[in-house]
Amino acid sequence: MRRFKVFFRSVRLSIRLKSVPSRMVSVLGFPAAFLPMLISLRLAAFADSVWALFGSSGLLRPALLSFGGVMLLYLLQTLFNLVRNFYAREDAARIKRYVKEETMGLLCRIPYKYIENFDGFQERLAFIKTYGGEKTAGSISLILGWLSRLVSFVSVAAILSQVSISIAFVLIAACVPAAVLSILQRDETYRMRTKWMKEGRLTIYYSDVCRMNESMNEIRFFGLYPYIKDKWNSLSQGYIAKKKKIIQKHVLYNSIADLLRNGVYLIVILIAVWEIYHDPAKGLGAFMLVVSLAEQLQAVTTVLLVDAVAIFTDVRYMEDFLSLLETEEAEVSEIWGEERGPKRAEAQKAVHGAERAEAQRAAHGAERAEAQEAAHEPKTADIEFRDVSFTYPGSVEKALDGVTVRIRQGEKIAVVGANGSGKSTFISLLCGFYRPDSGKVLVGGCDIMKNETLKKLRSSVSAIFQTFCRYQDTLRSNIVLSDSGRVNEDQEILELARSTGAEEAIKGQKNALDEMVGVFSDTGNNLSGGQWQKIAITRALYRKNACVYILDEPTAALDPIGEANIYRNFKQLTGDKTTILISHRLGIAKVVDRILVFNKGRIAEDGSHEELMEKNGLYARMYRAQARWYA
Amino acid sequence: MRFRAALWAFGIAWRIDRRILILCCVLLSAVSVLPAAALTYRQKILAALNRFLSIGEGSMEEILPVILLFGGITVLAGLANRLNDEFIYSIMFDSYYFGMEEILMDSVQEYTMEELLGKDAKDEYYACVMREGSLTDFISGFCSLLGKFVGLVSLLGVAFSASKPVCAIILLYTIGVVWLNLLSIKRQRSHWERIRDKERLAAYYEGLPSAPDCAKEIRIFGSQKRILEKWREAYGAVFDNELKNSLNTELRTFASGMGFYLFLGVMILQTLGEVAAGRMAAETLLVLFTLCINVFAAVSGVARTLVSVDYGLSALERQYRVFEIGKGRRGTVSAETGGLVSPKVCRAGQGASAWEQGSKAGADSAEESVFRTEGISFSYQGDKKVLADVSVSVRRGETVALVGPNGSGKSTFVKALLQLYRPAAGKIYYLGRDYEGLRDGFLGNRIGAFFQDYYLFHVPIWENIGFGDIENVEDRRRIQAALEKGQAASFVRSLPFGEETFVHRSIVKEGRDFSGGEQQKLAISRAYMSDKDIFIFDEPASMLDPISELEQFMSIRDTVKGKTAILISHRIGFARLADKIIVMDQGRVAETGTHQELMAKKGLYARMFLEQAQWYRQETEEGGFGNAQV
Repeated sequence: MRRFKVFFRSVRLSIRLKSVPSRMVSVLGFPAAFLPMLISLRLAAFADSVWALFGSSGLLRPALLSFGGVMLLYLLQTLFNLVRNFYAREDAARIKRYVKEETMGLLCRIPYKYIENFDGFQERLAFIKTYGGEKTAGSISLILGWLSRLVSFVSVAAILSQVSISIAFVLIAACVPAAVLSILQRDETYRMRTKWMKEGRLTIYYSDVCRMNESMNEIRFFGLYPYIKDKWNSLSQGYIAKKKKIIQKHVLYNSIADLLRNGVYLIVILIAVWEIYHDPAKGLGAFMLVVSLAEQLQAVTTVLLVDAVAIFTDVRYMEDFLSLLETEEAEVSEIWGEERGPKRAEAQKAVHGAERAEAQRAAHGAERAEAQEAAHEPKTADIEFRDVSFTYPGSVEKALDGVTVRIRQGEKIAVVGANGSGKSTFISLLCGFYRPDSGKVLVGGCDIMKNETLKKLRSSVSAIFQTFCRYQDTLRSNIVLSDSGRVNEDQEILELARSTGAEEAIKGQKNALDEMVGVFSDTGNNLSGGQWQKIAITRALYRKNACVYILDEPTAALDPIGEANIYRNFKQLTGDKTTILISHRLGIAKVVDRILVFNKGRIAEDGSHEELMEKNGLYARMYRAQARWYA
Repeated sequence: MRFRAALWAFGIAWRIDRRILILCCVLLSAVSVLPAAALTYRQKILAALNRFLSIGEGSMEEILPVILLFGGITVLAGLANRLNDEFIYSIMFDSYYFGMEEILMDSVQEYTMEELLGKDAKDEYYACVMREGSLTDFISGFCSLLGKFVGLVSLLGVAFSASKPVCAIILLYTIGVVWLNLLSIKRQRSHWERIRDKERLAAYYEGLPSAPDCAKEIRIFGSQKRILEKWREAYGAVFDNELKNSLNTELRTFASGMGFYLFLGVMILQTLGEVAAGRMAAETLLVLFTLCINVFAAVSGVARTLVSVDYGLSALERQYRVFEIGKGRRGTVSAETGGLVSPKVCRAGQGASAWEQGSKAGADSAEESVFRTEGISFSYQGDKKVLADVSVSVRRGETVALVGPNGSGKSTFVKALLQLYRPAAGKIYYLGRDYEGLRDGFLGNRIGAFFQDYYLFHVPIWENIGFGDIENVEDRRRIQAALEKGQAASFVRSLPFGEETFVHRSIVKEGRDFSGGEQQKLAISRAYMSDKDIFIFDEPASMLDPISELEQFMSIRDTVKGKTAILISHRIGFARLADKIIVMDQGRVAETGTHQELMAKKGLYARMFLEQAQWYRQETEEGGFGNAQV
């Protein structure tokens, strides 16, 4: 029953994916299914008339006419094959596009932890993308193909049993073992595919590592190639050997099935010949008919049986695919309930059935009501952590351990502390990338894990992360991406770039802001690490309507002059926005109001530079460690 | 060119696995004859039946052996097809796919890094490297073409014996179809070329949402719409092209189908006349008819097979051009410059040259400078020089700090010293020995290096560190010592699986994503593997907190005492650890001297120092450099 439901959902989805002409061609498949049978009949008639002609008892005209009939049917079949094959390819291309697009959308929506491969998500995704998506999106073609084959089967079997019922029976019976064998193998393939995903990806990884830019320094300098290649070799050999074994078994089984089928074919011919010798009235045409129908019946019966089972076994892949969309959606809707566009809502309705959408609407409604009741509209952008603890999946130590802090709107905060003391985690939780294990993150008094708040929060935050993105696009796109809804003015961008220091990266370019940078630039124009970072800072600050700026190590790649420039312009750059700056460069302390010192997941110290120096604790120690070099 | 590339491909296939190549060719050819053989027996059966029906001659016993033979052939054909389609093809696929991958991996190593810096070379290179399926496509396509060819020839033979005019008609038809397909293949190939850039662009955008750094920005900036738009734009072109190609291929198949029925019509009309006139037997006509249908089946697949062959061949041509011809060219270049050892001949420790032996015996001590450069220049592309006429020397036992603004050429200079980039002009000497004479990887055993753009492999921690000295990669004692020096030992110890922990979790999900500072400490530890005498650190503390930073620099100071070291850092205060400071600006050496000298000079160094120092000014009276206590 569940299988049936899954299948039904897949079919609805896959119908939507087909273009209108493609749907029409699918329907045409039913009448076209009669063609093989008709051709066989016409061929038999033609054989008879040729025989008659030869026997000089016949005339040329009937022979010509029946030949014309055969030709007409062949032409029809060729024409139909043209459209069918073309639309099959179109369907396949559309399915590929759909799966890609859907996966991208999913990756943009799902909670961030999955991007970090939480729960082996990436393997699951890769597997489902390869096998599940296409099966789901192609389910309608599978079922229609099966139905039209059923039509062929029935028509061919009917004609053949008129000629000889025993032949038809023997033929059909002989196909059963072959079908059973293929069914058994499908199960095995599924298991092998799921099992071998990791090994396959590791093999690819090892060969990529030898070829890709990022790892080339190490591979060359340390002379790692022979070692890595050895590993690649043993992985791929193991893979090939296992695959070979499985295939050997498949071929053996299938060959037995083939032997059976072809043996039966031989028997059919013997029977047909025997019948002619015993009853010459049957004629040459009957022989032709039996032979060609037998061939067709065998082909169609095997495929019919195998496909019938395929439909049921493939449901597994389809279920994987749908459940991926579905389970993640559930988590997503918890957080991003409203963000889905009308198209998504429609898709979801189609995929999940109306009752699900209904239930979700109800749930959202209730949530909204609750939100209004509690007057959850954030009034200020005060940020508050209330006893927040968090442990990364798969880790034992707490990354944050009972953090309680309040950051008032407009405050300039520096977050400092040792590596791994929880600074970046603090920011990740503030951005809603992870859900706290306990405690609450509040913005303007609202829990950010509520849809409304998170959505609002994210639209009012801007950030540069430690590993920022280098968009292989124009300089302009790199900057305005943070606020792409806004009309961008050269002057505004350039002014901002002047104060962040990104101007020198722009000015040197032939096409100024519209210069392509990175791998897709025609001239191979690339920026230096420091220049990329300045562009990323500019991007973060370009988001003017944000009220919180989060800057995680924004000057790590900058030279002393670039760094001093950012510090000098700090007040002007951040304006009245709440600013949270993570830095190991404690010189920054001079330009912020307040410093949070993290230690082992807790906030160890909290105060202004002067207060903390006076306290003579961790901060003072760190500060002196750095300052002594500048005596 | 095309022909030579094809020959080259056969050469490779022969080397990788000749058994499967021969087996596949022989079996496919043999199998392809079977339909023609079946047809002749079928004709015999029909003739016997015809004779019996028209004049009542013959009996079933007479043709029983023929029927059995016919059945036997059918069984054989079925088995052979099965073996071929499923077993041999898949073995061939694996063996050639992985074989080609190996060849590509090997070929890449022949390239020098600077060869891959230019935009065109890089694009060309990646276009080659990404197509490891080329050989499989080509050879399997070729084998199936061969089969089709043999099949067609045998069918033509049958046709020839039955009726010469019909044979001529079939031949004409076959030639026409092949010609039509060859014409369109040319067009198809230019499509691929044009669409390649769009494909790369689409793949780039497709990958963005799963890259962690970008995934964060998507969530904050709400940029998914824009990224999806960009992807749609790029993929749209790929998609349209795919549809266009599909339509073309199907239309071609259709056209050859129509052509076929035209020929069939002509042929049948001609033979019907013959039959009516009593010059041809009825069964001959029926067999000819079946034969034509078989010919059509054999020819109609040719369109798709040709496309697949050419798809493989086009990639092979590029690979042949880039790797084989390129190799030849590079080979002659290195011969002309008279390198002591052909750089690629011996690698990774095998076959040390006489000079290496000598140097170990004590020639090292004769030379004062460990590194010396004479007017080296370098540019990534065009005429924008990253290094311009740089001449410096680093003496034995000296610690040198390399400072300068972003883009002043520090990292490039260091990569040249590390034998990774060959300068366009000028000379570099290691212990007085010209780099031209050093084999690849020679310095890897002698220098502990940390790259600013370091790479951590998706392997366990111990292996990542061990890579610093591949010959002792499994020496846990050395690895432990390196981790200590790199300040990574304490956090590694606290991990549940310690050194066995996988770095990253992209494939092995039990792995761990380390923070930026932790990753940097791991990568630095690699440089400490097996106590080398020379160290080069490029920004070793950019991600470290102030205390770790101090510890790291102190560890570096202790380690390099009495050894030779080059240190790059934007934390300019640490330049004071050095015996000598070299200031670079716009690819040139701007200043050289000690901290005191350069401060007195009030040049670029002094400016940079003061820019950074001003933020720490108020505290300068507390504890100065030298009596550092943590």
